[in-house]
Amino acid sequence: MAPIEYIPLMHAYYQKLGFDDYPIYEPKGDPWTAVRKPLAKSTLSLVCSAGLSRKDQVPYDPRVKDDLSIREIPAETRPEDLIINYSYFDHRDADVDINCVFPLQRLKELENEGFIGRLSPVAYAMGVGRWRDPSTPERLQTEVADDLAGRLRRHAVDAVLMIPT
Amino acid sequence: MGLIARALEARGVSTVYIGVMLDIVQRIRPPRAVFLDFPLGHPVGKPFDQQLQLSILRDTLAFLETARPPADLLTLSYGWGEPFTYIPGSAANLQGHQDK
Repeated sequence: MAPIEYIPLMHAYYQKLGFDDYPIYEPKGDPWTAVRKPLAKSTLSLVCSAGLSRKDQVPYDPRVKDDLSIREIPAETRPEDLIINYSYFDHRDADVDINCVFPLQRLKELENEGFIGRLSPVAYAMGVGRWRDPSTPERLQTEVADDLAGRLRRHAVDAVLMIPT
Repeated sequence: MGLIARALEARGVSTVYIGVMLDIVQRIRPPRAVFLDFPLGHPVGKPFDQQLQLSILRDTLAFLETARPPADLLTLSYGWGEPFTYIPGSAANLQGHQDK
């Protein structure tokens, strides 16, 4: 079976709602940072845009647009202390096993077996679910990226696993 | 997330991205991406399948070292095992949320 073509489905859905086409950013250039050390000696962090939060944090509001806020999730956070706030994807499986989208436990196991050098003490949750403001993609790639890169640098992170949902 | 991956690479951070929407991954061109033909909401696999989740993560993270510029995309060969579809907005209906 060929992979689903999502872009036409999303365009059709947006048109049905009375909007223009689903906005998909056209990237320019191909930035690249070469890996400087082997994975087994690297510090890895995790960034996931499932709109999840720790239960003691301000949750993401699935009705709000252009929310570019970041939640810091300590790596030792227990799965039962996390909650997915978003509604844009079917997360019934992730609700019962958060590792389907936010695999902190699995990454800890990979650290314990030496596959990765070190799991950063902090992972990051983001929302970035729905955009209305045309400046949002640009802000995401400037101020939000600067903020996130700064947070990663503070924990000497070498590489990041990015998980969209 | 692909846009943030690109912006992080431009700031000296190496990234690898797991995508389940092939046409969107191809459009956004994250610097290093693996594609997995799994339904939305399952980028690391099925619930409580620890071995599958670990295997997907090992393959994905190994691609940090083997990917080559520019914008390398690796298709992982895992199969979901049953047909699946995507109906836009269906999850929102499921959750009973309305846009603000």
